[in-house]
Amino acid sequence: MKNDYTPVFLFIIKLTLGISFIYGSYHRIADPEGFAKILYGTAVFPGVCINILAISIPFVGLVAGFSLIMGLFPRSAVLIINATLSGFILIIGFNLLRGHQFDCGYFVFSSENQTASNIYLLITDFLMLASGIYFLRKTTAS
Amino acid sequence: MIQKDLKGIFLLVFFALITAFSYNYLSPSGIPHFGQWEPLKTDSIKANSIEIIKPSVKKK
Repeated sequence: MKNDYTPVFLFIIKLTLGISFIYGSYHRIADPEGFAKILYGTAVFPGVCINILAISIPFVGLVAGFSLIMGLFPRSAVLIINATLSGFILIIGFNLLRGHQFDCGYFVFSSENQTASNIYLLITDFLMLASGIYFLRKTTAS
Repeated sequence: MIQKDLKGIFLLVFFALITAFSYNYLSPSGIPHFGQWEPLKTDSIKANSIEIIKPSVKKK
């Protein structure tokens, strides 16, 4: 069911997801070593694949963000963003459940209270994922 | 619909990976693609570092 506000909501979601992913990727691209340390700190990935992930994940987010804002394959971009967010949620949730302290560093690279920061990031990721699912449900393939 | 989405995902990820590895190769702050995680080794070395005490030589 579509109402008059649906295009406005979709536009806001598009801008919010796109800009937050471009902004989030910028720090990681500027400091790949810092992001590699964060990935290592999650204690989820094996040491061999950390550098490859640290190089590739930020650019996938950057391209998806730009593609979403510019309207090139918007559904594909949102699918990539949703997959990335699901991965973040799984990693953060898994580490919070087992009580492993780590610096997630999505928007910032350091924080004094890391558990509170991770819970805040988990909530933000859930909200972004929900808006991404809403976007997918309301748009048709281009 | 699903085929178009999959085609878009493939194109975007392909473009992103090419850009990522090209940028990392050209950029001076790039990190090595493969191999063991380096900072782990340096951290462990720092943690177990031994202080080198210079012998004092008395001049006659």
